Amino acid sequence: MKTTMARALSRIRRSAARVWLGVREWCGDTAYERYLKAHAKQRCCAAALSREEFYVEQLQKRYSRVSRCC
Amino acid sequence: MKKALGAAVWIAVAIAGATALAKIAVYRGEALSATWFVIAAACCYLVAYRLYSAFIAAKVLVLDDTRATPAERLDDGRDFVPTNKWVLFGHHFAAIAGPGPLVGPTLAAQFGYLPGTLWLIAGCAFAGCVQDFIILFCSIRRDGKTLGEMARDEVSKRGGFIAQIAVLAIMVILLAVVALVVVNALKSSPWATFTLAMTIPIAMLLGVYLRFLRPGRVIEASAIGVALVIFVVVAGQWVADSPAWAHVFTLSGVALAFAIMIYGFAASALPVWLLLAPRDYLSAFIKAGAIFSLAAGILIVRPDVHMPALTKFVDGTGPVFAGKIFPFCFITIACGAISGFHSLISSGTTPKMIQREGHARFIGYGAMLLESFVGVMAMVAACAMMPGVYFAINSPPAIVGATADAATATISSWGYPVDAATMAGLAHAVGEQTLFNRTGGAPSLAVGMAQIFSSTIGGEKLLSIWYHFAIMFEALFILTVLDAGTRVGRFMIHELGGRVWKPFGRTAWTPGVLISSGLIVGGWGYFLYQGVLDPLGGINSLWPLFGISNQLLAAVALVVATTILMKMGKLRWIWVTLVPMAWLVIITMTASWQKIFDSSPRIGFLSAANAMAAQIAAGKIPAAKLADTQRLIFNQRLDAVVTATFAVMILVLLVEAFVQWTAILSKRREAVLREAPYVETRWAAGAEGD
Repeated sequence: MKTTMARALSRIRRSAARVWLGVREWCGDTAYERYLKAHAKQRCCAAALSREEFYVEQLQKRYSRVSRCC
Repeated sequence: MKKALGAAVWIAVAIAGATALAKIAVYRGEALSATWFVIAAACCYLVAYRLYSAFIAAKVLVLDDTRATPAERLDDGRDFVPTNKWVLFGHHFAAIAGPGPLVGPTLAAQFGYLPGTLWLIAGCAFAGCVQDFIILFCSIRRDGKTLGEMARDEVSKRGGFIAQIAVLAIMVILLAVVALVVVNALKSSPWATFTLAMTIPIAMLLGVYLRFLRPGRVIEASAIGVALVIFVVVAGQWVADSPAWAHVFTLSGVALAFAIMIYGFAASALPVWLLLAPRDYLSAFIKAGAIFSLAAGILIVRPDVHMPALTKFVDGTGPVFAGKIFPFCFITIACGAISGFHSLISSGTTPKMIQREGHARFIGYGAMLLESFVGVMAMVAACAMMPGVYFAINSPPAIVGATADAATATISSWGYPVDAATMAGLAHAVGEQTLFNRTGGAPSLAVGMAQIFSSTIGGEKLLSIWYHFAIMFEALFILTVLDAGTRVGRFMIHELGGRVWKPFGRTAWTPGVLISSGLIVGGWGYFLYQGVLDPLGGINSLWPLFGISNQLLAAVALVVATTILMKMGKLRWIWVTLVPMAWLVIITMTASWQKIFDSSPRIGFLSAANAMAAQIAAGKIPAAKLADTQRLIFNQRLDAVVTATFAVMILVLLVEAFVQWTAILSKRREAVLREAPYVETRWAAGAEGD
C-alpha cells in the first residue's frame, strides 16, 4: 500500500515538475541556460554573453518582427 | 478491437457535433443554452483536426519526421531553438491570439448568433487553420523565411514587394482600429482609464527589475506585476468614487486618442526592455488567465443565449455597422475564422523553433482551432445578454439618438425591448456613468464576461470589479498589439527608407528612430483621430477596412501557398488552398466594391462624401460646422482610396501568380522550389530533442 502511495506521489511530483518546466520554457525563464548549452556545443571562440546581455539581445530581436497578432 | 473502439469514439464525437450544430441552427425558442455552442464547436474542431488536418499532413504536405528541421540543423540557442511541442504551441497561440477574435464576433452578433458561429467553425476548419498550417510548413522547409521572402522567391519579385507594402498598410489600419476600440472602452470612464494608466508604471517597474535586478526572471517579475494589476483594478473604484481624482481620469475621446498616440510613440522609441517587453509579459499571463476563466465560466454557468439566430439586420441596416450579411459577416469576424496576420507568425519565430515537421500540424492547425474557440466564446458572451442591452451599448448616437429615452425607444421599436431604467441600473452595477453608445465591442464583451464571471464568483456585488477586470484585460491586450505593432512598423519604415537613403536603415540612429516612429504613429494616429470624430462612431468605417485588409493578407498567404503546392506537384490537392483563396478574393473584392461605391451613405465611402457635399451645397450645414464637415468628406474619400489600394494590390498579386501558374502548368517554366536541402534528423523517432 505504502509503495503504491509513494509511487503515485513520485509520479505526481514528476508530472508537476514537467509542467513547471514547461511554464518556465514558455515564459523564457530557461532561455539563457539553453543558450549556454548551445554555445558550449558550438565550441566557438567568442565568449558567451552574460545573462543580462542575452536578455536584452533576445528582446531586441523579438520586438523587431511581428510577434503579436490582431 | 482497439481500432474499432477508436472509430466508435470518433463517430460518437461527430454525431454529438452534428446534433449540437443542428440544434443551434434550427432552434427558434426564447433562449438556448450556451452548452450547445460549446459542444458544437468542440466536436467540430476535434473532427476537423482528426480528419482534415491529418489528410493535409499525409497527402498534401507529406510531413516528414526524418527530415531535420531548421531548429535542429541551425540550433544556436538564440534564433533557432528546438522547443517542446506543447511549449511551442503555447508560444504560437499567445502570439496569434489577439483582440480580433474577441471584438469581431461581438460586433457580428448584430446579425444574430447563427451566421457568425457557423463561419467561426467552418472558416477556421477549411481556411484559417489551413493557412496557418501550410504557411508554417512552407517556412520550415525554407529555414524560417518570412511570408514576404517566400512571395518574392516563389511567386515573383513584384509579389514579394506587394506583400511587404501590404503588411505595412495593414499594420497602419489595424493599429488605428484597435486603438479606437480602447478609446471607446475608456471614454468617460475614470475607473478603467486609471487602471490602464497604472499598468504603464507597473510595466516600467517590471522592466527595471528584469533588466537590472533579476535579468530574465520572467515568472517572478510577472507574478509581482499581476498582483499589482489586480490591486489597481480594485483601487480604480476608489478613484472613481473620489470627485477630484475622477475628474483627472475622466477623458474625452480626443484626449484619449492623443494619450494613446503619445504612448505608442514612447513604446516604439524607448528601449524595448523598459516598457514594451514587460507589458507583453504581463499581458500574456493575464490573457491566458482571462481566456481560461471565460471558458470555465461558460461551462459552469451555462448561460442562456437570448439573441435570436438571425436578426432583422441581415438586410444591411444594422446599427453596429452597416452592410449585408454577405460579405460583411465574414469581413467582421475576420481573425476568429481566418487571419492573414497569422501567416506572419507562422513564417516568423515558430518555424525556427519547431522540433519536427510532424509538429506543424498540432501547432499550426491546432492553435488556430483554439483561437476560433475563443471567438465562439466571445459570441456566446455577447449573445447571452438581452438583445436590447447589446444594441444599446453598441449603437452610435447618430443612429439611435443621443438621449437614453430616444435610444431605448428606437431600439425597442426594432423589436428588442430595453428601457432607460434597466440601462441605468446596469451601468451603476458595473461602475460606469453610462453604457449607452459605447461602440467598439469591448464594453459589451466586458459586460457579457462580467455577468458570466459574477455568476460564478461574487454575484452582483463583484459585477463592477469583474467588468473593470474585463475592460483592463481587453485594453492591456490591445495596447500590447499596439506598441509591438508600432515598433515593427517602425522597423519596416527603416527598411524601406534605408533603400532610398542608407543611414535611415540603421535602427539605432536616433533621428531615424524619431522620424520613423513619428511616421508610423502619425499614420495610424490619423485614422484613429478620424474614427474618434466620426459621427457614426468610427467602427462603422474602420472595422470593415481592417477586416478587408486582414482578409486580403490571408489571400496573399494562400496565393503563396497555392503556388508552392503547384511547384511541389500537388495539383490534385490544389483545391485545399485554392478554394479558400478564391472565397477570400470574392469577399474582399465584394466588400471593397460596396465600401467604395454603394449608394447607401452608411456603407459607401463615396456616397457618404457626396451626401455631405450636397448638404454643404444646399446650405444645410451651419458655418460653424463647415470645416468639420469638409474634413469628414476628405476622410471618407481617403478611406475609399485606401480600400481601392488594397483591392488593386491583391489583383496585381493574383495576376503575377496567374502568370506563374500558367507558365508552370504549360511547362514553359520549370517549377523550381526554393526549399532547404534534405538533411536526415539525428534524433531517434519518438525522442524529443534537447
